[in-house]
Amino acid sequence: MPPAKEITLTIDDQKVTVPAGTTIFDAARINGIPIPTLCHQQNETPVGVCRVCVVDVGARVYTAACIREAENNMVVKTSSDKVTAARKTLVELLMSDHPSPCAREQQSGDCELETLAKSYGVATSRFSKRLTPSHPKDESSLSIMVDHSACILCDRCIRGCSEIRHNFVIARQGKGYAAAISFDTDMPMGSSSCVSCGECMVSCPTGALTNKKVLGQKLEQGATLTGISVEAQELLELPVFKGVSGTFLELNKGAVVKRMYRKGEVICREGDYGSTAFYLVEGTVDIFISTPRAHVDTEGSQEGFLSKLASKLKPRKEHQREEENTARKFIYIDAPVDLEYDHPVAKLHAGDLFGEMTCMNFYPRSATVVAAEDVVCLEMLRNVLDVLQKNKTFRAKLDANYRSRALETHLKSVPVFASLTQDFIDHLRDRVELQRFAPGQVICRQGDPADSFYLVRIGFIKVSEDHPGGELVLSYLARGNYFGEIGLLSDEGRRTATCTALDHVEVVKIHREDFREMVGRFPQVRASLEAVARERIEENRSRMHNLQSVPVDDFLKQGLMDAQSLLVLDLDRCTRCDQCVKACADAHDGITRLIRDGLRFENYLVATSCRQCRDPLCMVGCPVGSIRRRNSLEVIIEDWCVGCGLCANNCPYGNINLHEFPAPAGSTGVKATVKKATSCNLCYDHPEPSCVYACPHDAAHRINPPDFFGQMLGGKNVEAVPYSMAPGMMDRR
Amino acid sequence: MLIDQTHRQWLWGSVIGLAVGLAIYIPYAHFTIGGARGGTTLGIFYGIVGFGFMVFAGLLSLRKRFPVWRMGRTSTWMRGHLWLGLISYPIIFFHSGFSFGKGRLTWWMMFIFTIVIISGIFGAILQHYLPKVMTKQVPYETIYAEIPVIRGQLLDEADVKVAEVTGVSMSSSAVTSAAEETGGVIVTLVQMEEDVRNELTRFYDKELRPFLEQPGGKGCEIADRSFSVAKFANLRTLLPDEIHPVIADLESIYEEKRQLDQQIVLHRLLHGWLFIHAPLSLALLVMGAIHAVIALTY
Amino acid sequence: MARKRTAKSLGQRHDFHYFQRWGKWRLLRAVLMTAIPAIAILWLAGYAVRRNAEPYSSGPLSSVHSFTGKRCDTCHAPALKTGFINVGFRKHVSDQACLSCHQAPVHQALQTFTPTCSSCHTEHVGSQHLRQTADESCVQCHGDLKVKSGSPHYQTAIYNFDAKHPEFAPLRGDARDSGTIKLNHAVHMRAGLLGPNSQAVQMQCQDCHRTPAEQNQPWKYGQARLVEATLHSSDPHNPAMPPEPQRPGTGRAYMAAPTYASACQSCHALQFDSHFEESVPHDKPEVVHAFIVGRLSEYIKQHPEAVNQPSRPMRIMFGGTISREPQIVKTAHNAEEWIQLRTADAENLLWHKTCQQCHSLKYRQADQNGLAGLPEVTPANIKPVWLPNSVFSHYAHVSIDCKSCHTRTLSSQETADVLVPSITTCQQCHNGEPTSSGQAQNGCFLCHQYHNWKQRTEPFTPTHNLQELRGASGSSSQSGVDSPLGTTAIGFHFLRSGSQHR
Repeated sequence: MPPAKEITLTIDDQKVTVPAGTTIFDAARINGIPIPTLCHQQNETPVGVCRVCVVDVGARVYTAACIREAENNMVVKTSSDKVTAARKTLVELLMSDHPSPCAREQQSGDCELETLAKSYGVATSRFSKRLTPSHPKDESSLSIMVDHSACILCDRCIRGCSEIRHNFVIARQGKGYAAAISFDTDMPMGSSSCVSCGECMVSCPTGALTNKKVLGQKLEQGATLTGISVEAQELLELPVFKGVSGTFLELNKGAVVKRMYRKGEVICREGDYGSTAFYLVEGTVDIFISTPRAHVDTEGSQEGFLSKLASKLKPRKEHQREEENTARKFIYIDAPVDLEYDHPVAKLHAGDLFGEMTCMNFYPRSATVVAAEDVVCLEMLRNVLDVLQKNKTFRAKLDANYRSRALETHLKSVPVFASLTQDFIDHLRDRVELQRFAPGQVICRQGDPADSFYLVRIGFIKVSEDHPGGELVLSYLARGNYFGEIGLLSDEGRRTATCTALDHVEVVKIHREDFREMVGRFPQVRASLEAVARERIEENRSRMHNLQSVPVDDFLKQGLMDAQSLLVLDLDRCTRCDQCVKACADAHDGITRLIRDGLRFENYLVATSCRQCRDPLCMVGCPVGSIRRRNSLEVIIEDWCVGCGLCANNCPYGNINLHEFPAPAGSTGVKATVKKATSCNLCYDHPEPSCVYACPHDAAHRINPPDFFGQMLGGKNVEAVPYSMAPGMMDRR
Repeated sequence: MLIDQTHRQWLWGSVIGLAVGLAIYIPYAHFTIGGARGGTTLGIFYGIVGFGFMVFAGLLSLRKRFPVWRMGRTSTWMRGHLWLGLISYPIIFFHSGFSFGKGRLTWWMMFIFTIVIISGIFGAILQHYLPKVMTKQVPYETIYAEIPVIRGQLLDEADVKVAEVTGVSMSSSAVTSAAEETGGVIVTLVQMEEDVRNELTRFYDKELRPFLEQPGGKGCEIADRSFSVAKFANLRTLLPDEIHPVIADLESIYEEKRQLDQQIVLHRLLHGWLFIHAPLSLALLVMGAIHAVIALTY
Repeated sequence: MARKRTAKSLGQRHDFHYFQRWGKWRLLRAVLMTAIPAIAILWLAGYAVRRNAEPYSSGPLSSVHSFTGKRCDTCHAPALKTGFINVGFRKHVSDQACLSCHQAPVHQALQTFTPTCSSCHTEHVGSQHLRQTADESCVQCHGDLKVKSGSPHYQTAIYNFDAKHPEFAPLRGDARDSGTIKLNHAVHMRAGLLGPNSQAVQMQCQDCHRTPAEQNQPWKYGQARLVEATLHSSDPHNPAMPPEPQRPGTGRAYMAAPTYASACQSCHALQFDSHFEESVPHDKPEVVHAFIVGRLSEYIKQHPEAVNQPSRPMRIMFGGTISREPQIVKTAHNAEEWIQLRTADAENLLWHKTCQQCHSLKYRQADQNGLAGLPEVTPANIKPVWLPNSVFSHYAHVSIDCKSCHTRTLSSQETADVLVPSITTCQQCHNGEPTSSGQAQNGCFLCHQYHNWKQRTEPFTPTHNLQELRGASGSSSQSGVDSPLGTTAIGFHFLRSGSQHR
C-alpha cells in the first residue's frame, strides 16, 4: 500500500492535517479538540452505535465522528448549538432508562453516561422509565456483576471480549426493548464460558458490568503472616499463569497474594472453612489428617482380671472393620494426592495446587498442611483460580500432575481394581480422560448407551432413577467412588441410572475399550464389579418394592418415608427416665446420639436420631468422605472426620451434631480439643442398638417404617408390643 | 411402663413361688416347737430367700448405671424388680413367723419395708397409668431437665415477636440476635394507632410475659386455659387483622408454656415417689445386712 | 409467620449434656440416698458406741432376765472361735449359759435325749413365765415315748391335756385309797347328822379339810393347832424357820391331812369311864393306858370307898372278841385291883369300840394274867398329795366349791374310795388357751415339772457379780469362781464392756 497521503480539514475553524483514513474523531483528538463519546474505545473497532459523538459536517444528517473518515476539506463543527442540543437530547434519552446512580457511579463515581449527563445538565431525565428491564441482574459470576438495566448496548464489552481477549463470550441478542447483551447462548455469566478476565468490565462505560469485589476479605492479612501482594508482572512469569490476562490480574490485585512460610508453620488446618486455594511456588509441605481416633476407646488398658471381665460384659467387637465390600484404605482429600488410612501423611511439591474444593465450593479444608521446609506459595481467591482452571496451560499441568501422582493411587484405592498390575495402570494412565462438569450437568442419562466407566476425582454426583412417580435418588457419590459399570457389564449396554453433577465435578473417564480390556485381563476385577453391580440392582429393586407397598399420605409430612430405620419411643410405655440416652452416651464415649424430643406420630415419639435415610442428604459435601453408608443401611462417620459441620447442616432432622473431643495424643496443632460430627450408627459394633437394649420398659424400638406403620396406615391399630414379640419389626437389619 | 401380658410369666412364677413357700410354711409353722420364727432353719432359709430378692431388687439401680453391659436386659431386671420385690414381702413374713418384728431393729425394718412396698406399688401404678395421660395431655412435651431452657427460649421468642410488631424492645440482646434468626416483620404497629399498640404492650407486659417467665404460672390469671382462650379472642377483636398471625403465634407460645407447666407437674408425680422409695430401700438393705450378720452370729 | 415446629428445631434446641448435669433434683436424690442410710447406720452406731445391743434383741426380754439388759453376752456367748472373729453359728443360747445361773436337774435317767434349755424355754418374747413351754416340747418325747433301755413306765402317747392324756394314776385301774382311818363321807355329809350335844348339824368340807396356812383358824369341830410355838425358837440345834412371806397362795396349795384334834374331837369324844367326863388323849395306846391308870389312881385315892362298888356288867362290843365265859361281876378288893379292873374295862371299851370305830387296831395275845396287851394302831396312811408328779394348787381354784370337783364325796361310803377328781373334771375347763373365752390354760407345763427337783444340789453358788452384769467396765467375775462364761472370748466388742480375755 502506498503511504497514506495527507489531507486537510477544518474542525471548529481550525485547520488540521492528518493522514488519509483517519476518522474525524481521531483527527480532532490529535489536534486537541475533544469530542464526547460513549461507545467508542480507542483499542476497539469503532461501531458508532451510541451517536454521542455526532458532529456537523454540513450534510443532511449529523455524522458519528468515531467512525466517519475525515475527507479533504471537510468542515466540521463539533460543538455548535444544534449539535450540543442533539447530544443533550440523546443523553437525556439514554438517562431515562438508566438506574441512576448506577453501580459504577456508586463505586467509583465515574459512570461515563452520568458524567456526561451531569455536564449537560440532564442528570434527571424528563422521560419516564422503562417498566421492566430486559433481564434481571445477573450475579452468577463470582467477580463481575451484570446489571442489564444500566446497559446502553454500547457494544464495548462485546468488542473487548472478542477483539481484545478473543474469548468470544459476549454477543447481542434480542430486538427492540428485549435487546441485551448475552453470554454464550444467553446463559448466566457465571455458567458461561466466561473466564472472568474482566475485559468487558473494564470496557463498560456504565455500571452494567462492575467488579463484584468477590470475597470481602483482604488476603493481605493472613492468619499468621501478611501476604505480599504480587505484581501482575511477577505472576505472569510463572508458567501456570501463562495466557492469563494481565489486566485482569491488575484489576484483581488483592485476589492473589504471595505467602512465605518457615519450616513447621501451619498453612491451613483441617476442618476450617476457607475460600482460597494454594499454589506452591517452591518448597515442600506435609499434608495430613490429624491422627484418626480409634472407634473404640480403651479407657485404661490394664489387662487385669477385672478389665477382662468387664470387657466380656461390654459387647463391642473391637478393632473390627468387618464384612463390608469396600474396606477403606484411602482417605480422599482436596489435593493431588490421597492419604492412606493407616498413615495419613503425604507430601506436596512445587507446582502443586491444593484447596480447590474449598475455593470453588466453599467446602471446609480437608486436611492440615504444614510447611516441611521454607515454602513460598500463592494464595488465591475464586476468580483467580477460575481463570487458572480455564487456562489451557494450567489445565495441562494439572492433568499431568493428576495422572502421574494421583491417578494410580486413585485407581488402586477402588477395591475392585486392587488387583490391577502396574503395567496396566501405566497403560491406562495416559488413556484416561479427565472431564469436568458444571453444577447441574448430567454426566450420563438413564437409557443412554454406555460407553465409559467413571471414577469421581472431585465433587459430588447424584445417582437417580426415573420412575413414573418421580425421581428416586439412589445414592450420592463422592471422590473415590465410581459408576457406570452396570451399563458396561450388561449386554444391552445401556445406562441404568442418571448421574448428575451436584457441584463442580471432575471425573476420570475410562473408555469402553480400555474397560473391556481391563475386565478381560483381570477376571478378579470382573468378578468384583459384577458382585457390586448385582448388589446395587438388588438394592434398587427392594427399595422400589418397599415404596410401592405403603400408601403415602401425611406420613410423608414428617419425611418418615425416607427413613429406613426410625427410633421410636412408645410414649404410652416410656416413663421419660433417660435410660436410653444414658445408654447411648455410654456406648459412644459420653456423647449421646439421640435426643428424646421431636415430632410425634400417633403415640410414638420419633426421636432425634439418625434415620438412615434412603436419600442421605448428609453425605453431600463431605470434604474427606468420612460420612458414608455401611452396607446400605447404617450411616457412620469415620474417624477422620474433620469437624466441618456440613453434614450437620445438611441433615434436615438435626440428627448429626458436632462435639468437642479431646485431641488425641501425638496430634499437631495447638488446640486441646477437636470437633467431630456424631450421629447414630445403629450400634453396628454391638449386638443390638444400645438404646433399645437398655430401655427398662421396652418402649424404645428401632423400626422399619413401612413394616411397622403399614398396618396403622392401612387403618388397623397396631398394639405396641416389645420388639421381641412382634413380627415385622426390625431393630437393625 | 405397662404391666401387660408380657409380665404374665413373671406373675405366674411369683404366684407359684409364693404358693410353694406357703405350702412349706404351713406345716413348718404348725410343727415347730416354739412357733415359726426367724431363728429356725426354715426361718433362716426364708430370710435368705427374701433378702436375696430384696438385694436383687436393689441392684436394679446399679444395673441401670451400666446400661450397655450384657448382664441381662434392663427390662428383665425391671420385671424381676417388680415381682420378686413384691413377693419378698410375704416371704419375709414367712421368715418372721408373721410377726411384725419384736426387737427394735426388726420392728423398724418391717416398718420401713412396709413403706417401701407400699410406695413401690403406688409408684408402679403411677408409672402404668401416667405415661398415657402425659402423652394425651401434653403434646408439646419436651425433656424435663431442659424445660427451664425451653421456657427461656419461648420467652425470648415471644419478646422478639412483640418487639418486632410494636417496635418496642422488651429485653436487649436476646431480642436483637433472635430477630435476625426469625427474620422479617409483617407490619409494625408503629403505623397503627397509639392506643392499639398500647393494648398489645399492656397485655404482654402485664399478663402474658409474667406468665411465661414464671415456672408454674402461679398467680397468673392467664394460666387458666379457658381464661386465656377468652383473652386471646378478645385481643383478636381489638387488634387489626394484620396482627392476627402474631397473636396466633403468641397463643401458640402460651399454650406450649402452659403445657410445659403441666408436664412438670405430671413428671414430678411420675418420679417423685422415688424420693421415698429409693433411700428407704437402701437403708433397708443396709439394716437387713446388719440384721443378717448379727442374727447369724448370735 | 407461623411458628414452625420441625424435627430439626425440636432436636437442636437442647443441650446434649443435659442428662449428665447435676440439677437440684439429682442432687436431692443423691443427698437422700446418702443421708437416709447414713441415719440408719448412725442410729445403730450410736447404740454400738454406748455398747448397747438392744436393737438386735429379737423381742423384749422376760422380766426376770431383764437385769442382764446391757450384757447380751451373759447368755449369748459365741460357740466358735475362728481366727480373730468370733462366730457363733446360729445356735440357740448354749446350755452353759443357762446353767451359769440355774440348776436343771435331769428329768429322767433313761430319757433318750436331753433337749437344750432354749428349745423349751423361749426368751425374747416378753413378759411371760419362762416356765411356759409349748406342749410340743414335751410331746416330742412323750408323743412316742422311748427309753434308753427297757420299756417306759409311763403312757407312751400323750399329745396334750385334751387328747390322750391318761386318767390320773390314783383313779386308774383298781384305784383304792390306802388310808386306814375308816371314814364314811356319805354319813358325815348327810343332812340331819347328830353333832355335839346331840344337835343336828350339816357338815361342810372345810370343817375337816383345810390347807396348812389355815390351820390356825378356829375349827368348828376341833381346836386350832398351835404352830406358832415352833417359831422364834432359840435352840441352836433347831434353828427357827423364817416365816413364809405373806402371799395369797402361800401354804394353800394342798389340803393338810385332817387331824383328830381339829376335825373329829367335838363329836367323837373318847370317854373311857363313867366316873369321868373327860376323854382320853388321842395318842398312842401306851399314853392312853398311862392316862387311864393315872386318872383312876387319882380317883381311888380321893374316893377310897369306890373300891367296893361293883362294876357294871361288861358290854358286848361290836367287833372284838366276845368272851363266851359267863360274866362274873368282879369286885375289886383293893385299890390296885380296882384300878386294874376299871382300866381293863376302859381299855376294853376303847380298844374294842371307841378306837376301833376309826382306826384299825392289831391286837396282841393276851398275857398270862388274862389282860390283853396294848394294841397296835395301824398308821393312818393319809396321803397328803395324790398326784406327786404334778403340781396343783387348791388356791388357784379357791372360787370353786369343793363338791363340784370332788363329785364322788357325798356318795362315798368306803375309806377305800378314791375321791380325787377324775381328769375329765379338770378337762372341763382346762381345754385350751386362755385366749379363747371360756377356756383355761392346759399346757403340760401348768401341772408338770420337767426337772426333777429332788435332784437339786444345795447350796447354789452364784457366778455373776452385779457390776459386771450392769455393764461397768474393767471388772471381771469374782475371783476363784471359774464361770463357764468367763474364759471364752466374747462376741463383738461392743457387746461386752471393754474387757479382757481371761
